[in-house]
Amino acid sequence: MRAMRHAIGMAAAVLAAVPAAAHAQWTTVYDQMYVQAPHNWRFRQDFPAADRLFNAFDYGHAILSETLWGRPEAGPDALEVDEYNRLTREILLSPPRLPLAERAIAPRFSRLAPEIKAMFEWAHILHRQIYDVLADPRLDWPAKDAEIAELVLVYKSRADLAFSSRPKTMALMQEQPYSLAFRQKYPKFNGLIWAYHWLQMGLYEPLVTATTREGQQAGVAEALARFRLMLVDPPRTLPYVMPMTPAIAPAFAARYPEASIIFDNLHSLHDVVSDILANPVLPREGKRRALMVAAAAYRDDTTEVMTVDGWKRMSGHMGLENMGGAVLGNLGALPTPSVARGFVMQHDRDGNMIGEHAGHVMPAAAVAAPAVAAPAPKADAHAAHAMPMKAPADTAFAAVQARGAKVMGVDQYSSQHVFEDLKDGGRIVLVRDPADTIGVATIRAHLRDITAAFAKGDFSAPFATHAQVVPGTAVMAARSARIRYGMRERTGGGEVRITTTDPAARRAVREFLAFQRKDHRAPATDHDQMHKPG
Amino acid sequence: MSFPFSFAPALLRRAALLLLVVTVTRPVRAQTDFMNTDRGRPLTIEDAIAMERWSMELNVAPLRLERSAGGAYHWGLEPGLTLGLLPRTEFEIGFPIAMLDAAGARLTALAGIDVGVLHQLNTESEALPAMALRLSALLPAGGLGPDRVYTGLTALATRSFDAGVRLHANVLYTAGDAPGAAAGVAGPGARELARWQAGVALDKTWPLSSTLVGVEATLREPLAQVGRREWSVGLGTRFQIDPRWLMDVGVGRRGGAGEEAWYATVGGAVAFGWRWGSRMGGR
Repeated sequence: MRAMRHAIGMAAAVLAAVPAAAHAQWTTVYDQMYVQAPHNWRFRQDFPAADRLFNAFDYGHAILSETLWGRPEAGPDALEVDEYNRLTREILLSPPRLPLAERAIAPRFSRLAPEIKAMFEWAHILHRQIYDVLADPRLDWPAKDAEIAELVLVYKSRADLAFSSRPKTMALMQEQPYSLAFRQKYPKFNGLIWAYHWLQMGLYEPLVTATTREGQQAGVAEALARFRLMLVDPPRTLPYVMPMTPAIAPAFAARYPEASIIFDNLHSLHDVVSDILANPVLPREGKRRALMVAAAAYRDDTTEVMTVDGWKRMSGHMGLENMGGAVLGNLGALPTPSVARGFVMQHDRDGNMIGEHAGHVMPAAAVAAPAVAAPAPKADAHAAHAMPMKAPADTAFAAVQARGAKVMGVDQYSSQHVFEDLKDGGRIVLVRDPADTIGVATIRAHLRDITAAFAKGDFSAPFATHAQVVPGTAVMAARSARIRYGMRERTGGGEVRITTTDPAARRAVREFLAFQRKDHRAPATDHDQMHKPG
Repeated sequence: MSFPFSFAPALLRRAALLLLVVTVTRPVRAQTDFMNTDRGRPLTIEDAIAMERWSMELNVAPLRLERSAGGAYHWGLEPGLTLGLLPRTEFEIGFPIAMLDAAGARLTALAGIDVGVLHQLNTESEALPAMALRLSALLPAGGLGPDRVYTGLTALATRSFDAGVRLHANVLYTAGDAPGAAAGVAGPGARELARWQAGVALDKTWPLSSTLVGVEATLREPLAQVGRREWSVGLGTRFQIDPRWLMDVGVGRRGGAGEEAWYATVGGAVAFGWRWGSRMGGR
């Protein structure tokens, strides 16, 4: 009986501890089975070589995030040499026979961001099911179209997992504070991931364009051969920019634009996750928050959305030759890229080019006002894609406002900030029109979030808003035990009160608030007239 | 199949009870994913992960053989079905069939109907392991079934570590009076239910070959025998054959109060979705 009581007591203690620990990271995301249909696993059956390569890609994606997050002490060689060689000399040559359990390969990343892992897996299920439909000779084209439309609908029914089917600008991927870190530190592995994405999208093309079964088989075989060719002399032979579906698989993109956009957004978030994990400037304790903010931006239909025509225009302008080249018709010849590796182009929502640079990690000022026409080592071929550049209308302040809206969830221009120094610390006030009840609730949720985060020394939210480490936060994080934070609701929003008796912490708090006042152009007291720019 | 040994009636009944414990208190649950370990095959301890929503799994050839110290062999089949009904929630129903061979005689009967609901409370995160609760009931049905309904609650937790290693902990408690104390005649299976059972398992996954190997240790107290302790240790493996089919094999030793037995399990399961596309027959 004593042992029983101990066992029950332990179970009760565990359950009792749950609420206390839950605030840390209580996650309830769940997996969902693929849609049952006669075409299930048809691609695996008819195209086993390609199907097995996808299993190898599972490993590549998983080991990438696991290494970046789980082995922060490891140098670039861990991926660029060790894992790259293992992948290209072993796993891609003899791929696994089954889809892999990525949680066994990437347990640490799975614990850090199970929501994102589930987003990836849900999109990968859609990938595989569309391959199955296109590979099934029993379905005619109207049936395939209807089936794929239904699969996309089912996919989108999981709003918590589904990528938006509206195209996103490259700003989400290339103009964030953490952007470009992965591709610059790990050019070879980054190129390999892009080669994966090239093949994943490229395989759709022969499945859509071939008129016979034999034609599909030949086209898939050609795509596989071309993929292998990309591995010959890395990173030179790997893609130089992210492969975009309208360029790599134009027939598929034209026929199934929604699915194509979903996959481009998926591949873009893959890069974003790697950037967040690889960027040492972003504090480790803030990476989960940054991941969640980024993932939400790829799920919603509003953040950094561009037009479908703009997405196609941008894809064309980025250059098929920079993405690995066409899938069909070029066997034996790799394209000559027209840009240097790491080259970054900026486009507006209509796909017009508004800037470009050589791809160095951007300092905060550059993030706020993206550089234009950096001296990129472009080859002549790129000139063929050159488009008139629009003058960027953004200012540093506008960039802060835009990022702030993403982090805080409310429009910054119609909300009011106050950053007030007080004798024992200071306070952050954020309010808006009380009639906007949703906005007010969003503000309060944000203030509660940052109150809890600041108390743990996590200043990733201001980092994400200001695109730099905010002055004072290093000391505030180091002395978090000596600073108290409390959130209080006010009419139209709320405030975060910061108090400390520690002189060094107090100085840091004031430094923090002063920077915020300057960057947000906000007043120093409640009594000042609220600044409402623009 | 028969084995050349004989039973006294009491021993036969006891063997039946032991087999029922094996089959009834560890009924079917399997998932296509070889990492989602089952309760009872190959190990008693399972993970705290519910099967995917809209998935269905059929245990088609689950077989268990036990050899007690006296040389008696006991067989059990455990067909059953698991449905991923709701987010992180699965429903299980099992139909354990007990078979005994003794001196050429064979006793075969349904040993109750086991139903259960497992709800996974959370997904594993940096701060917390995955945790789940299972409410289960053994219903009176069949010639070797219990005399009345017995309900149990199990708390489960799973924590993952590097290199594909996971630690699982399960604690089970069965409510209600002990068999025989309730009105009416207690069923033989019910008398062998565990009042409590606690155990841990450690498993390691080789993802590239879709294979898992695990070990476990458990301690339990029979519902009908206050103060008696029974232990078991086991070793098992699960491997995925194709995207739908998996197999598992396990061996173990169990004992208590001077009685010990070897057991072996082998099983297969097939999983598929039960949400059909509307063009394929309705959703």
